[in-house]
Amino acid sequence: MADQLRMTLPTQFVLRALLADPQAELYGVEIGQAAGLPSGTVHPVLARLEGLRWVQSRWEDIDPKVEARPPRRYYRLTAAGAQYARTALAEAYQSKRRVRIPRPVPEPS
Amino acid sequence: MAEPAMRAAGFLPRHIVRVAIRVVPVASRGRYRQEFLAELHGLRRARQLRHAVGVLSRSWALRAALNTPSEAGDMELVYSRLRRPKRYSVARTAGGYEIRDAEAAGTKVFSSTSRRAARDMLHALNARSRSGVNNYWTGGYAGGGQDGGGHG
Repeated sequence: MADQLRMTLPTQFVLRALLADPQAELYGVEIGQAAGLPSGTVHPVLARLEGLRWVQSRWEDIDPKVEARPPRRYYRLTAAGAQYARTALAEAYQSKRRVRIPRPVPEPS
Repeated sequence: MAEPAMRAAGFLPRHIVRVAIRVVPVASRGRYRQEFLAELHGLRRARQLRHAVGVLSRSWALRAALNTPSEAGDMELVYSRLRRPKRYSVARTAGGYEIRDAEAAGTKVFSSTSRRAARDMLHALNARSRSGVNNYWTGGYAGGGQDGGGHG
């Protein structure tokens, strides 16, 4: 399933942020802050992850009148998604290592 | 001076979010409108504006992400039908991926929630089929998805 997802850097950052605590529920701004991404960048990534069912979301269960704000949309990794995310991040890390060009070793004088 | 507990969304950020939402597919528009407006609450005014502009700048990316076909498609064939017909094929179902045997009237021989596991198994089964070993695969799958798959 990981090959359906392009492992762009924002995707990797979002997955890392969510994997920091796979049980935790975060909303868009929190995920953006945790991932170090600018506003608006996380939602396309989250939409893709949700489409693949790596991530599930739900509306916050609050009374807007009591809290004086509308309910937020909270995201968290699914059990399968956490596993896929770890594998995909490991593969992305490995592939990055594979293409790294080694520095030329200076010849002994 | 203490900060107010929760800042309401300003007019301009709300307006920018509403403009951004126009790009989003109609089916998801209500959800994202509510989501983005809710996220503005509690942010400082300058941050609200920055957030709204960020949302606007990435609204086409969000549209593209939402238009990407998901797993919801019922029995959508994952691999091209134009390739040389093979004995086993993968179909995508609501529950994951299934490998079916064309020579056994489309009987399901393997299922997994992992596309990678299904693809690996498909290659193995078709390679087996080509080499003349036509017995059904009866072993367990060692890699790939968390469910490990199964055969029916």
